[in-house]
Amino acid sequence: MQRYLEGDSSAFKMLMDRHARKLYNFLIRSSGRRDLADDLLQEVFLRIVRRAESFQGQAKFTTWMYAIARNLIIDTARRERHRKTVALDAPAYGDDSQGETRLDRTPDQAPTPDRGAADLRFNERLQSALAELPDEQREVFLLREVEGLKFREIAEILNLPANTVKSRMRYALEALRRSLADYAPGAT
Amino acid sequence: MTPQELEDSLVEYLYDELSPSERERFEAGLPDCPEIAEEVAAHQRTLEVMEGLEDVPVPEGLLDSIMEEAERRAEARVDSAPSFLEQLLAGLLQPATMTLGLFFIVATTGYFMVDQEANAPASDSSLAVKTSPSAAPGAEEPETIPELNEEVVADRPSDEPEAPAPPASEANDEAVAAGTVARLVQLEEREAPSDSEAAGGLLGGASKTGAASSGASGVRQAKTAKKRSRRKSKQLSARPRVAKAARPVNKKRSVLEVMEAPAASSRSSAKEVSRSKESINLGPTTLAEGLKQQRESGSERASYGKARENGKRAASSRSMAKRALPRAQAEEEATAAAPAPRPVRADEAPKSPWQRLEAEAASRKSSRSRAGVWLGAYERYKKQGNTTLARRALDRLAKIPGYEGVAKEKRRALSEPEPASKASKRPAKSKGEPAKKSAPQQRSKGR
Repeated sequence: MQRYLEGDSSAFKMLMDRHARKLYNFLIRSSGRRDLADDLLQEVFLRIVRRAESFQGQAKFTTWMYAIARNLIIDTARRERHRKTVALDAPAYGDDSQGETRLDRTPDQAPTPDRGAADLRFNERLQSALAELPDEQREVFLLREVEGLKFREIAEILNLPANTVKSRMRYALEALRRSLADYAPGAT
Repeated sequence: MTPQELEDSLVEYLYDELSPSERERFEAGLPDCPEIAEEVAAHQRTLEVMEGLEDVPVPEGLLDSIMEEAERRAEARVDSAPSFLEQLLAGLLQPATMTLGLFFIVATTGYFMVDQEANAPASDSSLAVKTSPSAAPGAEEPETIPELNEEVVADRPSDEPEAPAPPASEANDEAVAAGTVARLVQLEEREAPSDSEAAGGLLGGASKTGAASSGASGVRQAKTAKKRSRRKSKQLSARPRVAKAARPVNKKRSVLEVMEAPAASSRSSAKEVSRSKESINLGPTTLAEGLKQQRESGSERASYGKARENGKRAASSRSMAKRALPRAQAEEEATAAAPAPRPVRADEAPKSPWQRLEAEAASRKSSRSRAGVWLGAYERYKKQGNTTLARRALDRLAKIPGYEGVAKEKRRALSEPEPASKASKRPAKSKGEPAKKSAPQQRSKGR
């Protein structure tokens, strides 16, 4: 980051190559939507470019980057909550729904015999299990499980005590164990 | 490890964040706490399941626009690298630096304002220092002595009008000017027992006071008075101009008008004496009056220096007029006591009797008439015993053509002592008659 501040644009390219993929997956699992994760990923790096001068180097770049990402996720989730929800028994898509409802077109989350379809279902199930987590547990779980940050670093990003972070992680694991009981029967 | 310690270290054990020694102790304590051991196993299976989460790559080209933006900003950052002066300026514009600088400016301004305010009441220090007995010679005294100023005010006679307090704020220029004039009036009334001292104006007053005190304090007082006059000049020049229509019309003669009257002529005639009296009565008696007149006469650019100069000149003229006044008054009284003289014609300028004789003789047209004038003068001076004037009358007679012999004879007779018998028998008046009679005889003989 210091090299980029001195005018070396290739240093920023290195930063993006190193962190973009993990960040992108974190954003996908946090938001539950790829299209939204695309926008959020661009927005995170755009903010990094614009606020490069404000980075003092006192914290790790990863910590700073995920703090930006987390704030963006929270803002987006706040906006999403204000969106009008649609009932599942509402007509599916316009007048050509032929009596189908949104629930009829919602994919079944049960595993299918097909391997590819099974993988897809499995990922969707995992994603669904993550989406069911409370926000504070999910972000801790993702930062630790997906991004590989230590609890001390997560506590720094979230500005929380380390024991609080560990407690949230434990609650998140318990919730996931219950949600994924079908895939991990021995876990229940 | 106790069950509580095992429970607290559970997630760290799952993610391998325990130290090796802690890990050994944790694993050693698991057999003693089967519930914790079962929970660890369940979480490990869940995490294994979560490892199946798809690792999604970043779409191609998603961050290209961001990379372009980053390169553009990097180039701009290199091009606009701040120079040394810019970095210095940026440092000066830091909030802490600006706060410090602002504090310095405020403190400096406040110091000078307080200093000026403290110097302002020192306008009377020229008098105040005089009354200070504790003033050590050579010791550096502060110029501001407000306590002594109060002492001066306390010394004011009770019948004098109370002077307004010194101006508290320079913003009120009108009040400052009014206060200055009032204080100057008091100063002049006390500092000017004689005209010569008053002619010095404010500085003269200060010098006089300095002379009364010690030498060192006198120098200080003169300096203080100079500063005071400079300050007052500023105050007066800073006064807002008064609209011409709003100014009162001055009925008195202005200072400059009085000064244009020649001071020497005030000694010579009664007319000039009256003018001198007028100048004494109407002219500015003090510097303060000069200032007042300058203000009232509508001089829009009246400055303190000009007013002070006018005041000094007026005081000088008044002094000369006062000196000439007794002499002129004596002449006036003598003229009034003497009998009224006959009206003098324009050509009757001569005053002495001899000059009158010459004028009378010159006025005669015929030589005989002129000779009669001088013969009469001869007889009169001879009768009075003034032989000098008698001879001079004969000299004038000898200059008249045809009367040289008569003049010679008369001169011989004048030089010869007259016989006592003759002189006793004949009156002196008839003494010249034979000569008168002989003259025609001689002329007839000569013819």
